[in-house]
Amino acid sequence: MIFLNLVKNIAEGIYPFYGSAVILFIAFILLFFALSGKKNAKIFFLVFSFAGISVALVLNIIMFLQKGLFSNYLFSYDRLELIKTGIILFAAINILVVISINKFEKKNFIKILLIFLLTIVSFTFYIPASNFIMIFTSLVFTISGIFMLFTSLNSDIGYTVSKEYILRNHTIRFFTVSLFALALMLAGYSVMYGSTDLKSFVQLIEAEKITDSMIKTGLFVLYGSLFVYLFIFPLQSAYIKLLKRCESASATVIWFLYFPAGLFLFLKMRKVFFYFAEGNIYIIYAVYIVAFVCIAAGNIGAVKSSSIKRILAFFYYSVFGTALIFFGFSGSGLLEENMAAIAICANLSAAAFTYFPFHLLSAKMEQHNKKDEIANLYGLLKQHKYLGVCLVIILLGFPLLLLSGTFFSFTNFIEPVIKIISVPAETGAGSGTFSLLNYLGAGTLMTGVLFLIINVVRLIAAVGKTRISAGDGSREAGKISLPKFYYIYLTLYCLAILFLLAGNILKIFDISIFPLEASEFIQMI
Amino acid sequence: MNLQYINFFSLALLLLGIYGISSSARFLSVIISVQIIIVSSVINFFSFSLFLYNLSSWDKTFIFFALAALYLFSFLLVFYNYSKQSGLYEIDVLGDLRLFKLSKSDWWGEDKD
Repeated sequence: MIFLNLVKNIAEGIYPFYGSAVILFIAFILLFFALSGKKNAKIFFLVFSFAGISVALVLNIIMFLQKGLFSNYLFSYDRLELIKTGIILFAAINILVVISINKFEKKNFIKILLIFLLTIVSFTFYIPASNFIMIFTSLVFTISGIFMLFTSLNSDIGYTVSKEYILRNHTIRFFTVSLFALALMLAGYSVMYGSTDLKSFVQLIEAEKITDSMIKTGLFVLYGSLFVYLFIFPLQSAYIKLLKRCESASATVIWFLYFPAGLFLFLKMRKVFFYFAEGNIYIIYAVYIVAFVCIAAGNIGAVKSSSIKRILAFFYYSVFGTALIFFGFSGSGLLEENMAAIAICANLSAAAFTYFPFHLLSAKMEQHNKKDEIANLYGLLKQHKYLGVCLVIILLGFPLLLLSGTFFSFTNFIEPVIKIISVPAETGAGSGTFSLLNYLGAGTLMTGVLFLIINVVRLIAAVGKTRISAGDGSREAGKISLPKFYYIYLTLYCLAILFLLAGNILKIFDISIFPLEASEFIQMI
Repeated sequence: MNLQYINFFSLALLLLGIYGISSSARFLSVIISVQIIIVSSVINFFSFSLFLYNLSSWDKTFIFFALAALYLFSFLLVFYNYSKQSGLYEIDVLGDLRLFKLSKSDWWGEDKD
């Protein structure tokens, strides 16, 4: 009885970290087998880890529905945090798939699993963190975990010494930029502390001192540090160079653990952003310019490149850019704030639905051909018809999901653009200069989508290419035998994308097939 | 002691650190520049605490946890750079670790290797 009470008390005390507790428990068990290289142990712990993360994902949703919102001195757990945790745990399951395919044979597989699980745990603490101390500390621990995971995935990958040196050089460059960004963040917090001893962004909004110049300076430094952290143009060198050279599982770690950490910090600061951005022409102008540079340079870079990993790396910038445009729209009063916040999560989800299956397949091609280039996809539709069709649907799904807002209706995405075009400059959508600015924003968004479609068509053309030149013959995708797992994995993604697209299209006719009404969910955030 | 002068000094350190990071090609110089930025932040925290919030222990807690986490991460980077687990150090290479470059190759990522 005493034991049951103790368990009950502990269980009540750790909400909303049930998911973290499950993953931490698995990591604790793994600790005793970290040095084991036996195949059976690897299989057991791989299944155990998959099950643990899946349970954590389901548990988070169920417990939130039962217990509701949570807030204390250090953490705040609301619907947006639930979505963010869901995205990260979903990404974790997929990253684990890629890691297990690429690294299962390695002796250090269980160690990699252990580091991976601990990184996910620190991420689940970072997502609901609301106090400055907790935000900063958990972010640094998460980045440290990502660094350890990245380097352990890239150790002993059979490169020549000179290639290994170059990879190491770029890894250090990449993570030193993160260290610099984190040091700048600390500087930002220290400046804000000069104006007020408030301890969270919510308190900053509620306090009257928010217009104080020290706070403004601190926030400027914080946004600057985010700019550096996310490698936004023109600081992209270390990221672009690293992504081409790193091992394929570690690329997914950068895309779906490292970058989301930065984007989530941006989301944590969203209320402060909207406080200053509403009606402020200069801030909105800056947002549109950053978004335009991200979308234009990202898509042009993707068109120029022939390396698949680099194309995906450049694509990621257009995902940032599209989400930023929504923040600009919200600042101009064209869109509600929650929709802009959700746009980042929706864009991340759209990227995940395309990146994971596409990257898994392209990584297999790269492994076979010993080269990372678009020619690896040639002949796929001809030789593996089913996989080719799935891949075409997945690739088409990327711009279509972005356009339809992933889980949200098409009208949500297109509404601000229609408003800008249909309302005369003197009356609506903000008047005068604001209208011109919004034309710039809408133009950028449409250009981004157009470029994205061009890039996707280019990839689809590579998949469907039937006439292969003599030089490409040896790299023909059709000559690779693929295990059944690839068929199952791609089919699942294909079905999910078709389901989401069908749901979004049906919503135009007021028919909902999703279990949760998205527009109501947005209102609740 | 004047808070204003302390703030100017800390701002100078911050700018020095940013300059060091933007211009250095050597790993140690970059790490030292990051340390200078961290020192600048610590000076800010302690000076504000001393002059404005005398009884607050929040800044000390922040600095303790933030520095512990940041130094752990710095240590990981330094260890990774200097660990000799492979034959890397047998080759003679130029240790160019400039973080931000604006050449054509760095902008588009074009290279052969």
